[in-house]
Formats: sequence, C-alpha cells, structure tokens
Amino acid sequence: MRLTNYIKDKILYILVYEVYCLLMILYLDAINVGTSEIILIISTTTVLAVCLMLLNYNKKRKIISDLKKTLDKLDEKYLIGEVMKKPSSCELLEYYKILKIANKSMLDKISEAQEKQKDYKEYIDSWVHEIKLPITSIDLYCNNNKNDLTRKICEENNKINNYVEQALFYARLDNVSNDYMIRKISLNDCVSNVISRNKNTMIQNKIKIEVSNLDKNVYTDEKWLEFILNQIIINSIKYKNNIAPLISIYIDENKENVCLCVKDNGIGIKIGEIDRVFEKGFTGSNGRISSKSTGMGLFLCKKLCDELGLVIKLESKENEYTTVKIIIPKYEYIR
Amino acid sequence: MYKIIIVEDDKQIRDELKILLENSEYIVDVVNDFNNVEEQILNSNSNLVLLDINLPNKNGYQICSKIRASSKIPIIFVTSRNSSMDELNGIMIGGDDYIEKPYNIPILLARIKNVLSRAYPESKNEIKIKYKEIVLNILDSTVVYKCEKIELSKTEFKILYYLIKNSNRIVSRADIIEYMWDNQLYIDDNTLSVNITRIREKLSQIGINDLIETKRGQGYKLL
Repeated sequence: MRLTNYIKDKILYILVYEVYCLLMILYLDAINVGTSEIILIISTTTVLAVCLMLLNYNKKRKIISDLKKTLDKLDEKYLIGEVMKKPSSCELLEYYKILKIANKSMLDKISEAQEKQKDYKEYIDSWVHEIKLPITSIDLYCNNNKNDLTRKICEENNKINNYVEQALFYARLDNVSNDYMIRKISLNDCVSNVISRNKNTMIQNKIKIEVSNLDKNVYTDEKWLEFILNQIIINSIKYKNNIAPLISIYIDENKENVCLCVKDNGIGIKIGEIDRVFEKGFTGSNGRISSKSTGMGLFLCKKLCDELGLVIKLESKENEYTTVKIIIPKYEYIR
Repeated sequence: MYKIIIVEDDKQIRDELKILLENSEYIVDVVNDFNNVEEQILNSNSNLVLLDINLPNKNGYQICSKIRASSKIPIIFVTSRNSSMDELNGIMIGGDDYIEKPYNIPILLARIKNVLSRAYPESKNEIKIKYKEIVLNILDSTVVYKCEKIELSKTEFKILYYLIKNSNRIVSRADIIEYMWDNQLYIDDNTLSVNITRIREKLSQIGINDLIETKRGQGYKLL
C-alpha cells in the first residue's frame, strides 16, 4: 500500500477538511480574530489531522504487510483465512468473517472434488483389473485354437489391451511416484517382449524388424519402459509406409547414457508439428488422415519419461523416417 | 516332465491355461476348491505353482507365505493387480516371479521355463531330440543321420526343431513365423521359403530326402 494511493482513497476527507478550514477562516475573520491567531488555530488542527492520518496509514500498512508475509509463507494460498490473525478493529473483523465463510465453502468444494476424483480413480483401477480377465481369456482361447480368424481376433484383443493400459497409466499419472521400481533390467528382454506383444500385427502387415545388438543392462522400471516402447512401436506400425515397412531398433551409447533408438521408414511427421507431438491430444495431420490417433500415446510416454528421469526425443523427416530416442542415464554408482 | 498346479478362480482362464500348458508338455493340476489351497498344493507333488492373488477366502499372498513355511516349491504370481507395490509384496513374501495379466503367452511360457530351470538345475535341459533316425543336437545346432553330420544356421535349426516338435500335424507357415518371432528371429514369408529350401538341401547332403513335405495352401508336414 503506497502513501499516494492511500491519500487518493482519503481524498474526500481531505476535501471536506479543506472546506471546513476555509469556512473557519471566514468565520474567524468575520468575528474579528487576528490573523496570527487564525494561522495558529488552523495550523495546529492541520498538523493534528495530518498526524492522525499518517498514524492510521502506518497501522493499516502494517496489517497488510503482515498479512502478505503470512500469505507468502503459505504453500496453499487459499488457506489464508485459516491462518490469519484475528484483527482487533471492528471493520476488519467483518472482512475477516466474510473471508472465513468464503474460505470454508471453498474448502468444502475442494475436498468434495478430491473425494470424487479419488473415487473415480479407484473405480478405473478396479475396472482395469476386471477387464483384464476377459482379455486374458480371449487371448488364451485364440492361442489354443490358432487359425486365421483367431489370429485376427488376437490382434484386435491386443489393441483393446493397449487402450486399457493407456487408461490405467493416465489414471495413475498424478501419483505415479509411488508406483515404480527401479532395478537392473535387460534392454534385450524388454525389446523382445514388446516385439512379441505386437508380432501378430507386424507379421500381418509384413513389417520387417531389424534388431541390432541390445545386450545391455540399464537401471529403470521395466513395466514403464515396456509401456513406453510399446507406444512407440505401435506408432511405427500405425504410420508405416506401404512399400517396404521397416523398423530398426538399436543402441547408441556414450559415457553417461544409453540411448535406445527406434527408427522406422514410415510416413514421418511434418516439420512444423514435431515440437508438438508430445502434447496431450495432439494428433496432427497424420492423425487426421488415419483417424486412429488419440494423441495420448506420446503424451503419456513423455510424462512417464519425465517421472523416471529419462529423456525422450523425436526426429523425423516427412515421407522418410521417424526416430524416437529414449535416453537412459547410466547409474554406475548403484552397482 | 514337470508338473504345474494352477490356482486361479476364473474358470475360463483356468481351463484354457490348463490346455495351453498341456500343449507345452507340462502335466497340469488345477485347484477347484478354494478351501485349504495350501494343502492341495503341497499334496499335489507339483514342481511349480501358478498363483493368482485375488482369490475367494484367502488371497495369494497369504497362501504363499503359508506354503513358504514348509516348502520351497517355486511360486509364480499371475495376477491382474499391477502396481509395483503388489509386485514387491509378492517377491518379498517368497514368490519366484510375478507376471501380469493379460500375459503375453510366449513370455509366460519363457518365465515358467526360467523359474523351473533355476529351481531344478540338476535336471538336465534337453540337449538332443530325436525324430525317427534323425538326431538334433541343440548345443551345437547340428543334425546327425546315420553317422553323417551337418551344421545348420540358427534360423534353419529353429525351423527344423519346431517341425519335429509338431511332427504329428500340419504346421502352417504362420505358425512357424510366429514361433520364430517368439525366439527373436524376425523372419518374413520369403525368408521362410528360402530357409526351408536350404534345410532341404543340407539334409539331402547327409542322405535325408523328402523329409519336409509341402502341403499346398496349408503348410508343412514331416514325413
């Protein structure tokens, strides 16, 4: 609160006071009081008034700055009503009461919303748990009775599973921190698991796979890395070119990092859109062509990578290739 | 042959899993009554337990810790609970592995094989398989027929191995390709044809002729 602003607020009082002074001077002059007496009277009252005003200003400024300090210390600013000191003046007390009531109603709303969100998350979690049972049985039925039809069913079932997995990871996004386990995992196993999961689709689509030597162990969460890799491979399949689709998976290694690269010779991404591929819901022009895109896959990859301390990068040239790189730091000191 | 006992309360999954494992040459026992599961497991004389976690009466963790009190039988948790805490719990309580539903079937089979070979290292893994008078040496990927020997490439050997393992039926090209993919050999249709031709050539060098018969539109069958 600045003094000039405070004066502006009180401009009415000051005007009234000035008018009063003027009338007083006229009146005193009319009843023949000497000029020096008039000056004395007016200047004493003026000094008194200015002093009172400054005192008042100082007091108010202190209250406000105290309140600001408390506010700065708070993590959740909306809790100010709960922690502020009860003021002594009756005017401020009324403000205090109003703030308290407003605050309380907001807290109620927040906890209600949190409760709802928690319920919903728990429901999604248990729903995912339930839906996995029929997915598992369908997979087993198909595998025990292999023919062209069941292969197709199996492929579709795999798609369902992928969407379910996306939903699960999305629902857990806020509190992922308590759901991963960093340990030594083999990149080779991880990659071959993901390829095996998508083998039906890749064989059907006549996609060639080239896997160079992946004999490398890294420290990260296996389930998450598999999920991330799966999203990337699914994208490579979805946006393949139709002549001789090829996906190659290889490692690029330096002193600090292991970089797992997935390169395809697919339709690629337009230059202007590369920066946005990790945005939630971004489908781009490729997404609009195939209309199969949800804009969730890479968004989830990025989020999970951030959480795990991995870096994900995408390079692409339209109609030529797309390379997705997952950079995994080497934690030599864990050993 | 190893015996596996399945503890799974979903009947469809239980029955199909039984068929799957029997097709993969295991003897399979299932638990149908979920009272006294531990006793049934211990009495079944199995080599491995596939244990679900969400079960009627007691959950899988409780069953596992009960079993661990008296037996070291390998236990694999197979469940749709999939948080890391669940997994950690399973391992802490004495489980040997933890597989999530829906499992990828080749991965499930590979993990079962791993746990078994870890738990029973003394029992030798398969090193030779025989079909009629033909012997396949798995260690050096060679074929021996009447004192004659020839070496096959990894891909050729795997194809022949799969054909011999399924010699009782016609094997479709798709089956072979899928099997190869599960073994990290990512071949396509053309490569398969090339490899079959090469296998036939190599086999005829050691005097095996017309072993692999082509069934038009269906696949291959061993004679």
